[in-house]
Amino acid sequence: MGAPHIGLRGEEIHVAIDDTAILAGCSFDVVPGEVLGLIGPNGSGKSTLLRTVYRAIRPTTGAMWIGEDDVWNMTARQSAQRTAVVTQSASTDFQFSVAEMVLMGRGPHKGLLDRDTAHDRRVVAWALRAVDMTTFRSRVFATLSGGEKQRVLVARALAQESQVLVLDEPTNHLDAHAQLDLLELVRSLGLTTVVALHDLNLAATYCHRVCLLDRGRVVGIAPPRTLLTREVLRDVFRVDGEWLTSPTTGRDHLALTRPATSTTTDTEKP
Amino acid sequence: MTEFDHDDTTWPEVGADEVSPHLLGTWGFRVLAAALLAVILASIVVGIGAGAADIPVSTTIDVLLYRAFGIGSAADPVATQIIWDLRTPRVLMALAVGAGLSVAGCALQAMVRNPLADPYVMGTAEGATLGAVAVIVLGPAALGGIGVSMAAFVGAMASMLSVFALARSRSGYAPGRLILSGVALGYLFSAVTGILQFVSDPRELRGVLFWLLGSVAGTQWNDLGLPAFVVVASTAWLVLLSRRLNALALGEESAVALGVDVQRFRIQLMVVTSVLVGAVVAVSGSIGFVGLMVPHAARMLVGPDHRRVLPLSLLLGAAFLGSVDILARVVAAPSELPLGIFTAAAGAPFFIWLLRRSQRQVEFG
Ligand SMILES: Nc1ncnc2c1ncn2[C@@H]1O[C@H](COP(=O)(O)OP(=O)(O)OP(=O)(O)O)[C@@H](O)[C@H]1O
Ligand SMILES: [Mg+2]
Repeated sequence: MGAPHIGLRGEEIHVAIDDTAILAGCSFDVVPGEVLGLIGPNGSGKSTLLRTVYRAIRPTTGAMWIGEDDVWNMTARQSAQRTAVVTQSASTDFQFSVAEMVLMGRGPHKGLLDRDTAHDRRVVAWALRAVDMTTFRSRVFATLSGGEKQRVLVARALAQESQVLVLDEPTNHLDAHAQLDLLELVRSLGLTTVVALHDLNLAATYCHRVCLLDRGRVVGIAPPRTLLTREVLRDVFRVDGEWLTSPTTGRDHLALTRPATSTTTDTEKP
Repeated sequence: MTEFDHDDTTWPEVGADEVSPHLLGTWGFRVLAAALLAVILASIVVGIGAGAADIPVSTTIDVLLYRAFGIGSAADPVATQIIWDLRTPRVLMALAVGAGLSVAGCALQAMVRNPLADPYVMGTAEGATLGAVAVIVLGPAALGGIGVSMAAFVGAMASMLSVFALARSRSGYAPGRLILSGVALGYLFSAVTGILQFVSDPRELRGVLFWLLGSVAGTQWNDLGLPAFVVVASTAWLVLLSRRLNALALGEESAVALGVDVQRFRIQLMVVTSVLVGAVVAVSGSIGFVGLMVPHAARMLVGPDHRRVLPLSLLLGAAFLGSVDILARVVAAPSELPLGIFTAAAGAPFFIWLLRRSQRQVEFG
């Protein structure tokens, strides 16, 4: 968005909660303007790693850099001016309207005495249109469906006009069309983006590179096609996978099946 | 995606009142605020006239204008004394207390993310009451020589810290746990207050009891300064930080994402709310439900944005308790009733109505 792009870099991020290591030295980098997908099984540490980016959790050791600046040497407000976050669905008992929710994204840019300006309201209008929620602007946020809420939260992040965008499973609750729409939008923004995704095909389609986490460690960072090999899919995700090329679009798709005989101990009853 | 040009002023903006599609828009809010100011002024004049000695409105206005602004001429000294020395401070105190409790309710509700919180539900006021009663009954010497207001602040702060410590879990502070801890601690503090009353001198007891049910009777001019200042200053501070309060009302994670230093902000809020509750409770005793009802009514009118809710709560709270104070002196004249009886009579049904309403929203929403 006009301003020069900045990259994001995590160096040897360790996070321990109650002496249990949750992240054991994760290093990654996102080049300016890149969409990096964060993938990994449940509990592998994706949300935790993202939370160290937007200052919700302080790494036990390690450093997180946005451009030249250490995230943990900034104020919360400076960090929020650079990084916008779509958290996993927020719920509230307060009856904020959709437009009020999105307007809150302008908060990090506001001093104590600043009022909402016409510019702020134009940004809100744009953000709502970008996620196709314009007609919902006067609705009460708490009464929206899960997918509608998710889109409003994305609009709020857009209204922040940040250079770095962090999304934790943004396609949660979204229908098929809305999932594609959302990731298309994220990709088209050209921001430095980290997005945790469960759907490996979506990750493969919309991310420049993916970063694979397993039990708090980075297994690898590479373009999806390169990283997600048969072996990696089997070892980390415990699935059989095969890359197929669509005869109509020429795109690669990952076909996943549950292994007939599981290589890992399987506690499930047949 | 739609392209957005930052300098394109023809891009349609979301209208100010679409941003806040609540019962009252920008103009409704202004008109209501002006109307409430008028009500407050009227309640000052009427409130000064009400009581054992009947005083005509014109005399009241003459005395007020002369003493406050030096306009007009001195009226008869007896009327002047009743109006200026006895009634004016108590009427103003009722306004300050109502405003203070309401604003404290707003802050607490955002802090614990629950529209059902208030200084009494959360145990803050019970803590303040315990501190104040301890000083009254045991004497200042027993508590290191601190005054009633200071003891009330210490009690409020101690209560607030314990509520948050009790409700803390790995995933932060769940709103439900905060409320329950507050209720439990509130009972504990009330029990200790009860023991103190039991051991107190029977001659003191009547005074303590009357104060416990809430009253601004007997307010002197020099009692008024501290609470009035605290109410105005803390409301101003909260209004300045209302964007952060809005973010906090959405939860810790969202607040962090929106650039709020949550830990620091929460400590600041605890201190300010404790000062507010302490200052108000020390001079008025227990006046329940105001901090719950008023912010709620304000939100129903203008929506949850604290930039509007806080000033509106200040005005509504002052107008409400100002009127209740008149009622308390008129209903059983020439004797007067404690304020807490009236606020509880209005507040308890309101609370039950709220509970039922929020339950329905959970079930069907
Ligand atoms: N506050 C906490 N206290 C204790 N353990 C935690 C805490 N937060 C996370 N964990 C643990 O850390 C691990 C990583 O959690 P995290 O939420 O980062 O996983 P994830 O990759 O986002 O999983 P999912 O795909 O299910 O969202 C999990 O085993 C989780 O139980
Ligand atoms: Mg997660």
